[in-house]
Amino acid sequence: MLKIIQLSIMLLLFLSDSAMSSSNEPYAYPLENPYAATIVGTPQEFKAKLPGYQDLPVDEYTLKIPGGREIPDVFWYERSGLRYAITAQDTQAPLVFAIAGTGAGHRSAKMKLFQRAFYQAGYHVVTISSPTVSNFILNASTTGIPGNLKDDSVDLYQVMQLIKNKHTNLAVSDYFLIGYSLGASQAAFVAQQDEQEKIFQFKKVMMINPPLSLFNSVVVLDKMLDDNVPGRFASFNDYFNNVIANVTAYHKTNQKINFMSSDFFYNAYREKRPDDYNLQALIGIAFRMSSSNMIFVSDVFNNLGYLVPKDTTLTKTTSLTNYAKSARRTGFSEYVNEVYVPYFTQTSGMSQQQIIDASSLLSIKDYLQSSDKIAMMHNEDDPILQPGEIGQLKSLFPDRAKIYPYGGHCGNMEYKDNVAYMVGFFNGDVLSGSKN
Amino acid sequence: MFKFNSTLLLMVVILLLQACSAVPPQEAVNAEPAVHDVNDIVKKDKVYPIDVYDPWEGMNRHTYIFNAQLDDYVLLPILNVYQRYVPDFLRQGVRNFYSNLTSFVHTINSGLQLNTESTANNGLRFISNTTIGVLGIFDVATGMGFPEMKEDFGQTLGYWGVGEGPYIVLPLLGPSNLRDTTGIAVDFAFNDILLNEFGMNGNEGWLYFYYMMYGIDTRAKIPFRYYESGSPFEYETIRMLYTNGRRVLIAE
Repeated sequence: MLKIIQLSIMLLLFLSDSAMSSSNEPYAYPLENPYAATIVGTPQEFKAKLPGYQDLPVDEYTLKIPGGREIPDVFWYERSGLRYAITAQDTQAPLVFAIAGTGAGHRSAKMKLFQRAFYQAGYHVVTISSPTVSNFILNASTTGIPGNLKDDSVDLYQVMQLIKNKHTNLAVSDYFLIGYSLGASQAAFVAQQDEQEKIFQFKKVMMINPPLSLFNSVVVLDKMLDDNVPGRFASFNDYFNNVIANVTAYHKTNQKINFMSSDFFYNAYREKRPDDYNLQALIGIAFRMSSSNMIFVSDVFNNLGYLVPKDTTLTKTTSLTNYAKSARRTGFSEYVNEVYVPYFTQTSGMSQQQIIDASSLLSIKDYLQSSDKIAMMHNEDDPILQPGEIGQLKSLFPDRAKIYPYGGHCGNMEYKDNVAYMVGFFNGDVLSGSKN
Repeated sequence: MFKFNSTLLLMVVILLLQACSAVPPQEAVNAEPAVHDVNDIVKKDKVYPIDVYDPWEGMNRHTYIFNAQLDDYVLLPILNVYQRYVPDFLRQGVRNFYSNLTSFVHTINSGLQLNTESTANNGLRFISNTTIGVLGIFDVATGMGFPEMKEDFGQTLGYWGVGEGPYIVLPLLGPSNLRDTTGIAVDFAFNDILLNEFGMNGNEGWLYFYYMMYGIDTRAKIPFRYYESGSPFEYETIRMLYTNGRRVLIAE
């Protein structure tokens, strides 16, 4: 199965090369391996030149959502409210709302990129965590069961309104919306809801590397772990020890390299060239960590009895180590089948197939195809997509899809061309942006 | 000054030794097992990557919470002012100054580990930055090919085969273990030698300033913020990363 995916990715890569040869300059993002790109990101020398995060006037806030449920003791630290940040200009300016991807908070590296890029370009930037992280689930999720694009986007929309109402002294000319990965899909749903409610009337919306179908991508990501760690998560120990041994060996021969430095992974990758199986396993593990965090929080918050028996008392200092082990062994696909689908078939009356269909951007196809203000930035080789999905995505954004030949899943977001493109789209000086 | 601090550390260690062990989850009476039952999934005789020897987990978790609150109410507000109002070049100067002082400690520890490469590197780094770099305010050594190569006494102990001992979350300082806590105390003594040598150990007002700036600079270098990983297992994750990170450093 993976071979087929790889083969089709290579084929797509090849096709896109010839298709894109007409553009004036070749795309010089350095990592042509999609898995390595996803893990390593953009090496220092290829990054867009932007102000440092520390030099931005970032103000952190918390938001209490009216009607919120009581937060269990074990998550006491989330009781202060939903955390978000505003990076404000001194004068009236357009404002960008940014939504983080799966498992990422409002202070994650990619959100900092948005703050740096758009602040420099003269925008206010409001950064909001993904509805899949505990801070959001516990403070701002209506159902407490994340993963439903429509529900999560309704929650996001409410959060944005509350933020708008709270900061009335912030002088805003126009509203913009951006999101990456799952946050990109949510941005589309938020934009659609706003067409009816017209609170923000977003001038432009940018979606970066969205999954076509959330559930399809979840299957791909679960498989990256299950297919590539021999014996699946059960023998994760050996895999982990092997990774640590490799890092140790690398560090031993390169003592002068600081392994906290930003290019450590890039240098290690260039020198060691780990095979795709290892890289895929790493991506799978990273995803499994995010998804199992989310499942655990949702389980305890809703007293589902899924990982933790119902009515178990967990205090501020209860050891969660054993639950961490059982959570890491639980795939997102299992959770979808065992918790998510039953819950939503019961509450919404939809069939399993309808629920799965609703997790796809195809469910708002007409809106996306006809909305000139929305653009998508994506990569031919994004490894979270199933074969053929990039083509379907392109068809959703006629003339409004910017597809790069490589970059993996969000790996090239900090690359200078990509940053220039996202800022340029909002500024109105690139491509479809100029229409408006 | 050193005497006072090592006593403090010793007190902390004794306190920890008396500390309670971890609180197990309190299941409800007659509770149905969970769908994915921990007792089925987790094998008791198996060591998982997330397992670290942590007999004082209960106390450690309390200290972890204490540190998070200290961060929120004291350290981060100070850091905020520091980063917003002190210009970049000054902060860099402060950073270089302390980094240079620690290269002295790194040199001693490199020597104690019989590592000629890092002894030479750190020694030359210390000498060139102290002289050409005006007491370390400018980092000229990195450009000359002598980057920072961290070697602390915890690593020295590890090099000579001393085991990690139990995991410890130190108040203010964060994740550690018994071996590394000992290391911190010894490195502190090494640093004291240096302070005496430079005649910086006499004036109490100066020492307060010295340690305050040291604390601010140290916190400024660590991007970590408590409870922002989005993980309910943050305590476990930090414990695992700290322990494995130290193993990598010691194995070199």
